[in-house]
Amino acid sequence: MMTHARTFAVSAALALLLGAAANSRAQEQDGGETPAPSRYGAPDENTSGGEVQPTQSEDGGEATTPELTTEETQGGGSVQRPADAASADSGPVEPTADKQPDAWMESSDSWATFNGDLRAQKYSSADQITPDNVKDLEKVWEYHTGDVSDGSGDIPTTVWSATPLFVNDTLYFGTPFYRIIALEPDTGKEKWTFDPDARLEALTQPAMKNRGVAYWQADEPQEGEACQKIVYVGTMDAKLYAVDADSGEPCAEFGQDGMLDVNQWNTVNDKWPLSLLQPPTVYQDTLFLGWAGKDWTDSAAPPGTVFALDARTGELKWMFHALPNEVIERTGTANVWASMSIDPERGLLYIPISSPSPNYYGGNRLEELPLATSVTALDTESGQVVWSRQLIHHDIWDYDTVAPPTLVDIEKDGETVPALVQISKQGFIYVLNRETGEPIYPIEERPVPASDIPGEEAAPTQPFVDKPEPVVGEDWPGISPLADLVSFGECSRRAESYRWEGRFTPPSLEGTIAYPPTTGGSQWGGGAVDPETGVYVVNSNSVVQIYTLIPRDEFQQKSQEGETSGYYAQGDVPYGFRLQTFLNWAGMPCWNGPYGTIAAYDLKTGERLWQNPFGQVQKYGFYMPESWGSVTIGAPVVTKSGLIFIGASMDSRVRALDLGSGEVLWKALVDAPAVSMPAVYTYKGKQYVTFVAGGNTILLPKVSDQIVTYALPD
Amino acid sequence: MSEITEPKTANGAWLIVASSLIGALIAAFNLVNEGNGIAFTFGAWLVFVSSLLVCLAGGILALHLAVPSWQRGLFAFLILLGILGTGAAAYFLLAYVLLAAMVVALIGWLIHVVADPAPLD
Repeated sequence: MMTHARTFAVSAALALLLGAAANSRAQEQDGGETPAPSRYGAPDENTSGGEVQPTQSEDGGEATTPELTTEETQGGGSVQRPADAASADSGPVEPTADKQPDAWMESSDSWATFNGDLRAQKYSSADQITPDNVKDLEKVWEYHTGDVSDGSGDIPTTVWSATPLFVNDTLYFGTPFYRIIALEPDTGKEKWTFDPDARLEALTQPAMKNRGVAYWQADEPQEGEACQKIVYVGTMDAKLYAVDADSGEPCAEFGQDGMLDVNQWNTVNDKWPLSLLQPPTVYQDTLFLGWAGKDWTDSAAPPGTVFALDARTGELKWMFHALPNEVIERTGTANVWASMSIDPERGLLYIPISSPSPNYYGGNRLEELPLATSVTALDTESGQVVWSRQLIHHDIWDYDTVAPPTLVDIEKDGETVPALVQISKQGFIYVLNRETGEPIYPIEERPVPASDIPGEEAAPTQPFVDKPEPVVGEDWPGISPLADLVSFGECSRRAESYRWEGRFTPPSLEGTIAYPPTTGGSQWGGGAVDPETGVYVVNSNSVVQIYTLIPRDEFQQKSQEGETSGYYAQGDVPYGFRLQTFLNWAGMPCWNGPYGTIAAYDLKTGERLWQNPFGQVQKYGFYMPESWGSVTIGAPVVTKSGLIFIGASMDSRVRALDLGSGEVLWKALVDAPAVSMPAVYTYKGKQYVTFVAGGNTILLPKVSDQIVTYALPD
Repeated sequence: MSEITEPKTANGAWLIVASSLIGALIAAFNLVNEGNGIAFTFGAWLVFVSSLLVCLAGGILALHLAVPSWQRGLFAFLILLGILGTGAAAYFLLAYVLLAAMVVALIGWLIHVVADPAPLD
């Protein structure tokens, strides 16, 4: 049994570093001094109609950045747009009323966007596969892209989280090598591929990452004309490629011969490229694009920006900045690295904004930054803030808002309420009115512990949500007797030495128990909803980590301890940082399980319908008890017939669950953890479910390039 | 002079040999069968080797090899550990056919220690 215990321990240790992975090699310091940032968002040297200095393109020529004007918006943010573009009025913005969804995106047979549709419902109205017959599902085909690396060679390991898109009678995939692959949906036969010959280096992430592609098509595509339908893929080095969806040929009118260098707008604290790992959100001829970076290494870092680009040409429509100009010499990020959602009827773009840099010390950014760690609604036309709700004040826990808000109308007290459901790393589920941002279920400001770090001023209160019930408990799960026994009391002794005063206990010199920590809670996949019943499903993690600040003069940059923990310089602030998962000497989690669950909520009442351990931990081949659950990365999809399809778990299984009870009705083995959401679609009258099984080294050192599709037998 | 003991018959031991041999074949299949979730894992190797060891030790008992009684007892004890350990590992590997083989082996072990005739003096 010792073997099993250790097996699980190592396995769980690997599992626990969800958010950490994106940053685990963030120690690649620039080494040099922080350059003085240029500025945006205020009527000073480069803004408010002033010129932005053109950047150098790769061939040495000047990029085609036009003059930009800057307008302030709510929350200290700002919007830049080309000077010749129509200016939006500053101040409060009313949502546009006459918007309509793109017709091609609304087909119930397709899976045309990252989240299935713009509302991020992850819902399919396909109903051939039911709880009664799902046990008969069988593999129809599988395809291997060849774009996979275990990190043993020159190419960093791959992390593949791409949602398959099914649209235009074709399945489209992006790969971790930033190729686009088009397949026939019923046979898996290759239609075409596109290879941008992308730079395969871990410039901002510890791994080659990709979350797929985006698709756009003209309202009335012209027969025989190229690029009436376009597929887009972004790269680690901030290139956005556009190719014809029927042929895979680059779209010459987009950017420069089909490539747009988004890094041309990376002019503030430009320490690393704006990695385009998350595909753009597409709406009415506009691409909405965020970016990923590394917010653990620096204090001043590229500030968060969302780009609105012309879908045909890549021309900039507007840029939204979440941070005020006054602070960008000391901080940055507050970017949008997860997917977004759109209310197509209201013309509102909902963006999950991450925390500002550095993640775990805020003494250099004591100002209120209302848009940081928030869910914010922007007007799709102007980029102006319509409303914003900050979910964490003065974030010093790396509680990035990570998932797209799910938009759904719910029946409450006899009225239809336009709602937005925002899950979070901190485990709260915020249900808001998506027109106003006002809570549908109460959000209460409660006192939280103060920081004992000189220079740090933790916010005196934080917003709490009791309903719907958080995905993790109020208190941390306590010491695992088994882990404590194996470690001869190490777990207990360490726990007593750490600071824990409940949720939002600030990072400390002696070490703070963080629960939930940066790994969540819930993660970037977000939840799924059945819009007919208002049942919302979300998977989540229960992980304990230790946050320790280290005075600058004692801080030593050490090598990473795997992908789940390590030392982070945090730029030039007075404290470096150490992130540890709370494990004993044997690598066993010191806290009680389950380590991952899936839950369903009735949004009409806010009640939790069920919550079950989900998935299994596997290491060295051994599977741990199902009651322990698994840390998960990925997201569920809900079908009209009452099923949940989800991969996500460490045991490389894909599963179908009963929406009513959470019972696992079907599961199949794939080549690696399916750390993405599946696509559910109907083609030629037959329902298919396609999973990408790419793996994520955060869960297991097991990667793959497998695409696998299931259907009922004929 | 060491005491040599041998049972008159070894039905239980032969059952151990047969079931653990089948178990080893199953474990070998699991070891190389890509796509079963455990192929080439440490756990798959472990149960393959442990099944073979149980089979080998069972064979020594079954073939009435002349060993001292204390060694025979030691073999029986180690076989029991091997069967239980392999069975537990098979359970955690979700290798239920192998687990079934170990259940049969355990029955063989019980026959060996309970039902088989007393060894000759």
